[in-house]
Amino acid sequence: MMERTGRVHVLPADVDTDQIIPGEYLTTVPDEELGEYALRGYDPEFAERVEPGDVIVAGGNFGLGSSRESAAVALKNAGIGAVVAESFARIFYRNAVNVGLPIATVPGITDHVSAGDTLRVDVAEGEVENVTTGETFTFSPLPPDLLEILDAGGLVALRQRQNRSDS
Amino acid sequence: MAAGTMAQQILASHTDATSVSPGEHVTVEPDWVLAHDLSTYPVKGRMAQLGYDRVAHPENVVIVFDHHVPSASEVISDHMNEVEAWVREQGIEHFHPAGSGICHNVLVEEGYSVPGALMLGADSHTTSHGAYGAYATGIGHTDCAEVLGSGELWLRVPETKKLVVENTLPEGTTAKDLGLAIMGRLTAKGAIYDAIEYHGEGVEALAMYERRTLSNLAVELGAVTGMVPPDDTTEAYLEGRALLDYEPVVPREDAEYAAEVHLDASEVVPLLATPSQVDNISTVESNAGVHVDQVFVGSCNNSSYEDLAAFAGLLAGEQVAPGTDLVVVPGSKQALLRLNEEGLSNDIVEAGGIISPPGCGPCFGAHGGILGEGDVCLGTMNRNFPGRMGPGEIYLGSPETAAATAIYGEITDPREVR
Repeated sequence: MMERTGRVHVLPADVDTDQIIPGEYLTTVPDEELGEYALRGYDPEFAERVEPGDVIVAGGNFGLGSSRESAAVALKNAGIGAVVAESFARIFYRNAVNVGLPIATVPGITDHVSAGDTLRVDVAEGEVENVTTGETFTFSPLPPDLLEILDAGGLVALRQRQNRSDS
Repeated sequence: MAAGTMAQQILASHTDATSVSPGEHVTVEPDWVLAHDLSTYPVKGRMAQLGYDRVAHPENVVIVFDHHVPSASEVISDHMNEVEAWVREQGIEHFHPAGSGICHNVLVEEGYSVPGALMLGADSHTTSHGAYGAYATGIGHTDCAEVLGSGELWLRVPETKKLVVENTLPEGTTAKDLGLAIMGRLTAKGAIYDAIEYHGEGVEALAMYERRTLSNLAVELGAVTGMVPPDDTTEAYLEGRALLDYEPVVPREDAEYAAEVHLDASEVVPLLATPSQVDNISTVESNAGVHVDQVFVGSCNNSSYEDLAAFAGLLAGEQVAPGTDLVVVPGSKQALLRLNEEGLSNDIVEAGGIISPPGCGPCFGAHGGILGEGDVCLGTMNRNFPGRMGPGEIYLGSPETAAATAIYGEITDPREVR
C-alpha cells in the first residue's frame, strides 16, 4: 500500500515553498487545480513533464519557507508519488503527511540517483531501491500514527474512512 | 530526565505529562491558535472536510487580515467576505480586520504573546512570539483545522540548540544584522526540527522589537521555534498589556542542549542576505554600488514603529534616488499612527517614498510592489527566495541599510549616512 515506484526527477537542496507554489496561486486556485502549478517557481514546465507516480529526489531542507499546505497539495495533485529528500523542512513534512504525500528522509540519496532512474519507495518498510542501478537504501520509517494518516491518503481521508466504519 | 529546556517545560505544561523528552510525540492544548486571511480560507474548508462544524474554543482563536489587504481582486474579496462571515458565525471575538496590521505585530502589541504560552499559527513566522518567551510555531492548513476543531494537536518535542550571543552590537548595527550573522553561522539547515534558545549579553541588551526580529528569523534556520528567556525587558513590555496570566518559563539548571553555539556580537557589521537564499550572507560593504530598483521596508521582520522610525530618521531631509522606488509598509495600525504623530510619515513621503496600508505588503508576492524581470530589490523582510516577489532579485538587510540604499539608489553602508 505504501510502496510507490516511479521515474525520478532530481531537484537541488533548498527548494522552497515559493518555488513549489508561488504566492500568486494561493487561495485563488482550487486544490484540484493546484497540480498544474506545481514547482512553477522552479521550472514553469515541471508539471507538464510529470507522469503519474513519478518520484522527486531532492537535496536537503526540501519545502523550506511558508506554512502553505498548498505546496504539498500541488505536488500530490501533479501526480508525484513520493518525495525522497536528504532532509525536509518541518512544516512541509507535517503538511505532506496530512495531505497524504509519501515522503522519505534518506541522507546521501542524491549521490546515488540520476534523473530518469526508476525508484521504488516503501515508506512503511523504510526502504528505497534504485531499480535502475540495483542499489538499496534504508531509513527510519515514520511513526505508526503518521503512517496511518499517510496510508489513508491524508488526515481528511482517514477521518472519512473512520466515520464510514463508525456508521 | 532532561526536562529543563524552555521548549520541554512549555510543552509539558500544555499536556498531561509532567515532563517530556525530545523526539516524543505529545498532544498539546494551545493557548492561542492564529490564522490570517490567506490561511483561514483553506483552513475553514479543511475543517469541514475533517468533519468539524464548530471551533472547539473560539475564545482561544485569533484571526487577523493582513496578507491580501486591501484586496486586489474580486475572488480575494469573496474569500475574505466568506471568512469574515465564518468568524462571526463561529463566535470568534479576537478578530482584527484589514488595516490592523501584520498578525504577528498585532498579537504582540495587543498582549497575546506572553511567556510560557503555547501558540500555534497558520503562518510560518509564528516563531516571532518566541521573543516573548512563548513556544510559538507555524502549522499547515490541516493541522490548523484539526486544532481548531478538536482543541488539540500532536507535536514532536524538539531538541534545543542554545545560541549564546556574547558582547553587544556595535554602533551602526542592528538586530537584523545580528539575525543575518546568525543565519550565516547556522545556515538555513542549521536547526531543522530544533528549538532555539537565544542567550547572552547580546540578546539581553535587545529591546522587544529587536528580539522579535531574531525569533522571526528562527524559521529561516529551519527551527520549530526560537525563544528568548523572559527577563525585566519582557516584563516591562507586558505590564498592562498581557491578555493572559503567565508564569515566566526560563531554562532550568538541568537543561540539556543538542548543541551550544557562541557568536560575538561586537564583531557584527551591516550584513545582507544576497539573492536568492536566506543564508547567502555577506557584508553590505562588499555589495556596495549594486543598483537597486526598489527598496521595501516592512514585513513581520522589520516593520515595528521603532524599525520605521530608525529608517525615517536616516531618510529625513534626503531624497530617494531617481530610478529607485521606495515602498514602506508599516507593520500595524499602531505603528502607522505613531509615525504620523511623530511626523515621520511626512519625512518618508517628502523623500519620495510610498506608504502602503498596514499589512504584509509585497513580501509574499501578491500585490503592492511586485518586481519585474531583472528588477533588484533591497528589502527588510525575511525571505529572498527565487520568485518570492516576482521575477526580480532580493537582497535582505536592515531598515538602516534600506534607508542608505534608497538615498543613493545603490546598496550603501548605513554607517556612511549617519
